[in-house]
Amino acid sequence: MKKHCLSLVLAVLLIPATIWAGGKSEQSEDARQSITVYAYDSFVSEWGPGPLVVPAFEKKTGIAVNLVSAGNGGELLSRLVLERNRPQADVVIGISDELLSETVASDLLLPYESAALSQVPAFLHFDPTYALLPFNYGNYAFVYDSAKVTEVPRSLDDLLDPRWSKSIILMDPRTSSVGMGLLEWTVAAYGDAWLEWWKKVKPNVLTIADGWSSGYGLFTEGEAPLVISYTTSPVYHVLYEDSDRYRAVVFDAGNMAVIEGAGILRSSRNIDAAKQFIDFLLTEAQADIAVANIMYPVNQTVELPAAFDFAPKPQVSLMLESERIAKNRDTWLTEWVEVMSK
Amino acid sequence: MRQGKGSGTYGILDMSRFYHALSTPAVVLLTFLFLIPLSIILSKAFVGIDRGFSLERLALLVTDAYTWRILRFTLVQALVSTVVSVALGLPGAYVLATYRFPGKRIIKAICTIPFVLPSILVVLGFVIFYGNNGIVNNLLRMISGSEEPPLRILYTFGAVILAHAFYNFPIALGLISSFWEQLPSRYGQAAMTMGAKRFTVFRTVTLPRLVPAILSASTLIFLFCFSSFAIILVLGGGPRFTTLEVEIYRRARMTMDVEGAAALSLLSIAVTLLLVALHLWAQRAMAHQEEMESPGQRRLERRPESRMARIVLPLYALTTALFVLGPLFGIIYRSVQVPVSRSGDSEFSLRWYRQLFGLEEVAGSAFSVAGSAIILSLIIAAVTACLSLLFATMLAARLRTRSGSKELTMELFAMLPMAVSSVVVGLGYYLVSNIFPGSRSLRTALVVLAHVVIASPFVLRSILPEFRKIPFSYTQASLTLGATVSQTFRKVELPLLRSAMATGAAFSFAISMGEINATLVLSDSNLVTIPIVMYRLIGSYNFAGACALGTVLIAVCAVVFAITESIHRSRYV
Amino acid sequence: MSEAGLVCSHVRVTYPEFTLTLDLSIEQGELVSIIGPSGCGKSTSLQLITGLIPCEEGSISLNGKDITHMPVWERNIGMVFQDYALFPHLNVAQNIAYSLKLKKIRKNERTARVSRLLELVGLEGYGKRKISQLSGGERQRIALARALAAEPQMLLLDEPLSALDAKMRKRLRQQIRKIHEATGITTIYVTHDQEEALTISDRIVVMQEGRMEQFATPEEIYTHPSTLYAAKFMGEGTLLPHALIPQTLVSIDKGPETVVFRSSGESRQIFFRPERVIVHDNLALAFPEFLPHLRFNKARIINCEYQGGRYLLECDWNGHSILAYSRFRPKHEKVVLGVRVSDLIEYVDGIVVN
Repeated sequence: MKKHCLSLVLAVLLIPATIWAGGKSEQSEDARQSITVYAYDSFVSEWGPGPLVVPAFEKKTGIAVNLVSAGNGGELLSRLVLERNRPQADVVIGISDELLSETVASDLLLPYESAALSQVPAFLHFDPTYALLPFNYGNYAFVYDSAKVTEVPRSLDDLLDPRWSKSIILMDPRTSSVGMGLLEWTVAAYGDAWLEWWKKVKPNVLTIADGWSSGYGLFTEGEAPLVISYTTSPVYHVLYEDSDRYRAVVFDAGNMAVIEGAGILRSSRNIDAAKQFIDFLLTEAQADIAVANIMYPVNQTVELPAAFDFAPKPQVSLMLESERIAKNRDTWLTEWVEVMSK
Repeated sequence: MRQGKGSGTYGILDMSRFYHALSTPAVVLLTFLFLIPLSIILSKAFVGIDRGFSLERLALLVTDAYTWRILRFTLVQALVSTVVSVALGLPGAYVLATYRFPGKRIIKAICTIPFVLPSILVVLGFVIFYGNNGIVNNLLRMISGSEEPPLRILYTFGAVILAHAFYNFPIALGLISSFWEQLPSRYGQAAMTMGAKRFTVFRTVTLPRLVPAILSASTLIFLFCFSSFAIILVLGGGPRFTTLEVEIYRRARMTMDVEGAAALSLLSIAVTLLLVALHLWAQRAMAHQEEMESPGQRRLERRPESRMARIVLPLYALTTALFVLGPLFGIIYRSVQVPVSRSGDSEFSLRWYRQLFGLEEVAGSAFSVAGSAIILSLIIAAVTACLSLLFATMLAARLRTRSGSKELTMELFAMLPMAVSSVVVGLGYYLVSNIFPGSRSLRTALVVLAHVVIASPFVLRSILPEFRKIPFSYTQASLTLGATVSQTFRKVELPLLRSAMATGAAFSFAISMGEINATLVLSDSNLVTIPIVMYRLIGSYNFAGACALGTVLIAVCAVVFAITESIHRSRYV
Repeated sequence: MSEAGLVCSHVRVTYPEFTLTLDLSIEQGELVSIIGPSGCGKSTSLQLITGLIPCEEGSISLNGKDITHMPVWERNIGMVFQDYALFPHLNVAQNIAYSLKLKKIRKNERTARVSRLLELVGLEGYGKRKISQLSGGERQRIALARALAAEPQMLLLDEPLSALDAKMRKRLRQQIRKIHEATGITTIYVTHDQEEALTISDRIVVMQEGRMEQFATPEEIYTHPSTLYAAKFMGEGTLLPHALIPQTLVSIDKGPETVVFRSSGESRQIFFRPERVIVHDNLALAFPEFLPHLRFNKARIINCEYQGGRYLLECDWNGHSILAYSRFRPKHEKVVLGVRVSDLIEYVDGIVVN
């Protein structure tokens, strides 16, 4: 009988204790010279930019940074919305341009036109309200296996050529952000006729993977010579495998861009420190972030390692207005499924 | 007098507060960490456009032809996969249940491995082995000399079924063979004395008695296939093959339509609950039918006797081994390959393992934490195994008496985590993680508890049937010998469940080792486990490194299952 | 008479199918059998006594102490189960020492007691064996030893021999009787075998549908069954309408007994056991009986079964079936049967008439 009483007591204690402990730590975070930064997982992780950027900032300013991993993609925004009534973050890092209109509509972020923006080219100023400030960006691109492809496609239309039959690996926009990127790319390139491209590309598609991981895995296993990925993908192969076999191709008509933004929360009680952090992010931290994320820095003055030579920069970065994306995303997906599942 | 199944038989235990109290922690955990978050998520299905209560989302869903199309496909692919898996598993189950041969335990241990692999590894393993540029095709190309891949298996509906069979046929094999082993042979012998031939005996006597086991395995397999999505999309070749799970993911993650995801999940849960109920019913039937016959009483034939069997059986063993081991071998093969030239030639190297175990420095790579990730994963898995074993055993003790609708509800409730799509569960954890923003140790505890919730149904389904097989007279005998209810539980019932508990713990351990969804949602990014490092490695384009880590995972699971099997063997004989 | 051991007064449990009532008193050191068909409530009675089933009504006391609401594990009543319920994860010695360990008895003494008990049941040196290595009879004896280990105040045996063959049953029931005499422990023995009950018991309870039909010594139960049900359950016999008496009665004037002819009726019947029947196969010869008896002339033999030492005859007399033992195989198809009036038992509505 003793034993079961014990387990009962344990169970009863466990739940309130954890709730209480949760509440405790909440209050103790409110020190004066510190800010809380929400970022996506890989930013915070040990090999991400976080461990490089944060100590440098703390050393320079003396402001302590509490870096919190708060989920990926849309989770960051929905977490902020959820915490509207008891906000904890001062700065958020990693909301992409896709979610701009939702972010602005939430009215959680404080517009801040940092002086550092003068070093950022105009096309990257994706938020005219400056609630979100760009800190790095990338371009989607088709990556090819140079051991198999000699005549490189130069445009989306080139991909419709019958010689690519069963040669392209794509990703499903319903489950993959890269897949969604390509869908938006075709909308940006063809406007209302975007579905025509998809109809025609179907015979050339080997498979449409659930995510970038499996899709790119199929590509490196040699299942198909072409895959949708990023212009920066070859950099990895150069860095880790010392191989330039896999190369990205930029199209003359431009490649779809994805811009990652950071912002300050209106609710922050330490706006000055938060502004300093954003400024740091846009200037001194740029090189570290670019190398760790393997994305392009937004600041034009930054020098990049030689490996980045293998990441061709497109002349034109295509983008869609975020209102249009927000309004049509679901319809596009439905139409896309309709066409692709036939 | 035969012991009735009425309340009187178990009267003494129904009165005992001990058994009631035992189940409390498990119920509390399930409620707080699973049921409440899940209900909150699912309740969003009833939020109308104007934020008030409404059924319009559900109405919209069930009137949409698209919903029915994907539901139909989901059901059809799950059904075909189940039939194929069971059909493949039956002959194997026969062999395992009938013959005694060296390596039998090893086979059983290996068979359980695919089940616990993250789906990305299964996809990779399949492509490495069966792909157009895979091991099989390259071998065939070498023989035939042709340029085109001779065997185009992947990217068809058939490939989906094949992959599902790879994943699930071991379940059929394991479940059916262990039930078959315990079927008394005298019924078959009786039929033979009445003039039935071997096959007739199988069809008329053995098969009907196997039905509950087949049904139990089938429902389980059907459940897994029902919620499959990575395999279906990648290996099926795209959105032609779309399951409910894909659409739930689309709404939950891509279009931020949590309400829509909840509505679809409700539909999916309605179907899966039906299956879980069927599964439980089959299990009860099994426990009811089985007699506690000590394994020594059923004599296994040492070797296949007829010439036909001597040819067919090794052939079957070879094909299934190739089938299961192929993709596993693919993963291991890739992990010891390093590219040496631009054209894709590679050579044998242990480079990834050296990096994995920190023998070779690599800057800025996820490898830097692989060592600690392996240790952390092992610790979390061990704790998960212990806790889920504790909870599930306690729950099983309560549910053993099998009387009353209250117990049935509780059993269904305990099995629920198995029936809910991982995407929805992920949303639930996301909710939990927002309530507990606290410290890292608290987060780690939450991850462990989430693993416990996920693993408990599997532990429960391995313990409960065994518990029900313990003759009630053992319990009664112990009580009359002066043992209290709790002493009886500890000294008689628990020791008898040893091998079932070992199996349950092994599954729980392996599930925890391979779990990623809950870990990602609940942990901050400094809580790094094997699957997380694996995904990070893939994220930095190091697929071979991920395979190396996958090999470590396979090895750990193989060792754990082998230990379990050895515990099985030493069971009272 | 010695002190009361077990007293069940007005004990009653109700099930949807039937109600069990138990009202009996067993003396200390007595061996009582409970006999009855399957489902009559024999096992349930044992479970009530041990406390495995809660007692809803009435009270139970053991050796003067009220145990009605005492938990099973405190009652110290040993029980041997029909399937023996030997724990398969423990070996023979561990099974026997199970209760001793619970009582925290020291290891030396435990070992000594285990070997004493093994000796008592005639299985010396079996301590290290596994349960799966034992034969049915051995299991039964180990179960008995285990139940006795705790030196219980009472021993309950639930059809302990039902799974064994006839020869083994006979040997073991003698052994049980011997062990009972050696230990002097109050014992209840449940069986459905009347021969077992008759040979082993001090007293017998005949049960039917949850009711006690009769509670008496074996001789009493066999020769004077208090109900027709008990009479038929405890052995073979012939049942005839009472109305046959006038036409078959042979009164002998000199005899001390007078036959009272009571008013006849459908429910009035007479019963006698086959060994009470005198068989005569020469129809011409006079019947060698000097006491008042019933005489059945020209009974036709339907079946003659040799039982070793005697023959069981199944005869037909005017459409009535009569069972009789004979020391010889009758030479003719028809025989004369006789039964003394003093050997007749008379029942009205199934209940004995004194």
